[in-house]
Amino acid sequence: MRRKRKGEPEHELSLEEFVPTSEGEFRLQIPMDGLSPEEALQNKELRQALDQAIGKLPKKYRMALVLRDMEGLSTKEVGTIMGLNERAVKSRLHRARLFVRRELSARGITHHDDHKSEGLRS
Amino acid sequence: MTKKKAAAPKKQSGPSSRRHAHGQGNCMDLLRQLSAYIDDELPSDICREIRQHLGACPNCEVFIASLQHTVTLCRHRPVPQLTSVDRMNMRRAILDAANAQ
Repeated sequence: MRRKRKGEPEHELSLEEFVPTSEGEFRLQIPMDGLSPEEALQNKELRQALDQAIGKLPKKYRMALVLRDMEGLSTKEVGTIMGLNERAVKSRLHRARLFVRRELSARGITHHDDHKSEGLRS
Repeated sequence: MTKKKAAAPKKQSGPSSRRHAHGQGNCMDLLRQLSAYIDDELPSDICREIRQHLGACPNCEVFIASLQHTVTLCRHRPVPQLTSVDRMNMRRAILDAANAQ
């Protein structure tokens, strides 16, 4: 992948690019049925896919997602940190989530037995 | 979902019994509001319209479920620990910002 030059504007994410174009793109091909999020995340492949998707986000979108959804800050707090109004934070967060969703839906994740062996799935 | 923008979102939502082929309703308008819907930030009348749309558009229903799953996974994924260098840089940046005020 080409490395971004310093000072080069970041890639803008438009909503249109997240519109599914085929039937298979609507759902996530990941094993979550009957599992809590913690149990689902014991699947190493899923963790890696999630981390890679977040890592691929342009920085300004990744910051919004990490601060809001992962660090649990409020929209207002994220806005203060990023120097944005709440509307802009929400817009970036929304695009970041759609990006991660698309990345996860683009790859099938197999059902590992690692969580079963630990007796987490009844 | 479609790139075609519906002109008036409120007029497009039909009763849940009237299923439409995906793309014929206001799917694009729904896409714009999904995060706000998931975060429970929308007025109740808009939420009702969205629920009606979801009842008529199975693809949107699957799509919103997949986005909800994505958000749930993000919220439960432990944030990676900072390296000692990053921690030092962040501390310096905070101090610089505080001193600048």
